[in-house]
Amino acid sequence: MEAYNYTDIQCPPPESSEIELCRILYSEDYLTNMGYMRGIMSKNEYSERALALTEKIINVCAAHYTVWEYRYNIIKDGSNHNKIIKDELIWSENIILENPKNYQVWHYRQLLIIELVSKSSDDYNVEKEFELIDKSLIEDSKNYHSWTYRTWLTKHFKLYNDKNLSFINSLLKSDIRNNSAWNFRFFLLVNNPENYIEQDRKSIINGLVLQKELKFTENAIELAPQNQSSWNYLIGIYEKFNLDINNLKGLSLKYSNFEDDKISELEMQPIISSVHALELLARIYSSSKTTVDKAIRAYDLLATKYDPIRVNYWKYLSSSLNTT
Amino acid sequence: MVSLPCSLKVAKDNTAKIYDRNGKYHGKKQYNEGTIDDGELKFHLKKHLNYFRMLLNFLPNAFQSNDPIKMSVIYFNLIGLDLCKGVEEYNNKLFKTKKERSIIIDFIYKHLVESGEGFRGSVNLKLPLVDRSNEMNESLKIVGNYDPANLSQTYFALCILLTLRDESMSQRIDRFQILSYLKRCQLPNGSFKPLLDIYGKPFGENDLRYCLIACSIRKILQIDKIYEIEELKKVDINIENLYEYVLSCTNYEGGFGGEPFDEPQAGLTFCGIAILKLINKLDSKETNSRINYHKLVKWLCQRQIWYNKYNKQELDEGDNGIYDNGGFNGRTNKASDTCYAFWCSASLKLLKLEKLINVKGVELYLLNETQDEILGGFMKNRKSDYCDPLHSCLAVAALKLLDSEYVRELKDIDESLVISKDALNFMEQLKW
Repeated sequence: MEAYNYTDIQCPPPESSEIELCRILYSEDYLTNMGYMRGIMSKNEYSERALALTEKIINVCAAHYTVWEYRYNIIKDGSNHNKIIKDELIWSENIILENPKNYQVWHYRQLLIIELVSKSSDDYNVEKEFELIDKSLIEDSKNYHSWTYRTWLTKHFKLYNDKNLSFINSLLKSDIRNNSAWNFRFFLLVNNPENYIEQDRKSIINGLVLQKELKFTENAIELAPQNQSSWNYLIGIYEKFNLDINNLKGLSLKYSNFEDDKISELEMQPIISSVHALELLARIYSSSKTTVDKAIRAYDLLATKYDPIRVNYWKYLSSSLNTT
Repeated sequence: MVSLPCSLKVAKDNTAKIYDRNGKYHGKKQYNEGTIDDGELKFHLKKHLNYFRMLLNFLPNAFQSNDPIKMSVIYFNLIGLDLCKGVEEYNNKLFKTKKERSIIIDFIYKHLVESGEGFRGSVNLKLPLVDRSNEMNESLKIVGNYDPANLSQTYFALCILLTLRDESMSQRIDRFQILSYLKRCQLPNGSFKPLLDIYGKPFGENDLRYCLIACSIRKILQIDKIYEIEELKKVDINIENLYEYVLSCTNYEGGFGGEPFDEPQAGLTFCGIAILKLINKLDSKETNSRINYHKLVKWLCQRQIWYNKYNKQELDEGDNGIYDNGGFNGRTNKASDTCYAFWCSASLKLLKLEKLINVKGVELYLLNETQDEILGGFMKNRKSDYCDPLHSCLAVAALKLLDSEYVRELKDIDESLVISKDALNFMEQLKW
């Protein structure tokens, strides 16, 4: 980085206090640079040296909101606007990959993209952003910021497309328990705020895509019957489309072996393969007077045997059946 | 030996789970058939008091990156100290004279921005005043500077002043300046951004965190009490839009995400529920019809982790370890983390259902896995290298909220503002 001179910038040191709370042992460098930053910001100087200074500060404390705002204003002020923003995209990509959990840099990226697309006459392909998001998910496939940004990008530019879906499929293939991917799948295919490819939306309602999703989820359950994500997704679809939950009785029986409760407790082989199945079965049983007893028995088994950490919760559900 | 909430059946070859993914050995504990041999569980009150006191005095260089949000660091240490009944002592012993106490309070007011619209996070952000009357700023529509109030730092500063029982608060703070700033930070969709940019427009990411912070500030300033006065309604934030935004953040799993369609997360779910509480909509008929409480409660209860022989496949194939047992994760299929014990407990407490939580499990996780028994404080999880103020404060708060037998002597906590009940009582008797 080019060395700039800031010695002409005047900034009085921050007010000190005889007694402070949480006095931080700052480095000399930090205090000097923050002094320059305050001085240069108070003058609204939009210059290359100001830009370089914002980078120094961001590198040591990325949570400084107004430094990001200042940097953004310098970028917007510059001539050869599109080139500067494109350079800035490359710069911020590195910051993102180094600090994927920083709120400010993702927000900054969003501002840059909006600015570039609104002013740009050339055809910047916003789908390039997916490459950055995908990279940021390699280290941590559940990074909240990456997913929030993906949702924003998809909504803002209406990118409800197969590319998005095939990425989700590949993530779920490598980790069927990635709930962030399940959640995005729900957003993309089921919630579908902008009517993802009108034709497909209709076919969801017609049952084609819906059937495909139900099949997909059942396969996922087969792979990992105790996986909370796939059961939540399945029930989510049923509720979204007002489907009759009783239709899931067969599936929940398959993974709960409830009616065939014979295997001895001493055996290491679990007699149920999913607490979520047993829970769902209990919910189905509780909807009819003739089977309420079975529901109570299922909750009792969950409380005492299969899922005892939630003993109070299962008893709470069970007692609500007793009283009604 | 501790009596466990349930028996733990781990096959002997499973003891390898005590190593983390880097191969680092984590256990002084032996995971045996049926029980965990931990010795006695103990809450190290004196050590935690020392931890909070130590950090309130002095922070190592590693905290430098937190400088812009230093008010939040002070908040977590001070609230932790207060819950451990250390603030009175702090006021009486450490600062022997009234003068010293007032220096501390003045120090907090050094963070109040000149316009009175709120607080900055650190004195290092304070800009020198520059006379710009001759410049062309008017044509650029610059109305502010790069040293605005920040909503989160304002909330933390107000809580700090309440905790220090600052009697001068109602004189030194112009609550209508702050309220007007809140209003300008609100977007048409009802959500909030953390600050105003130099053009007076909301800047930063908007999500449920800032919505809760705005509601908390409004509550602390007791704006809700004067809401009946018609003229004041005009300067208040738009509660209806906020309400719609909060409801739009609910998700098919049952919890709240930060923005519409985001994955539900326990901290953000706490924000959603606490907002509804603070705007008096938690028990309303309308909310009852628009929120699936049953699913929300289920989702919150699902956050507590326990592996046994029936979900062994999850332990073998998932990312978590047997040491996550008893703790809470923040999202489905994630690992335990100290702070989610608080966010989930506080959420259920707001719903008056905290009894659903398995307190023994929480105690086991916090006291055994994340408590630093030597220096005091709590870690984020057992893979952390050191404790931090946020997790230390929230671990103490979670235990107290759940009425754990190990922290009976601690102060009660207000679960919606996350300050001690004492500080809340002080707040309520303040005359504005």
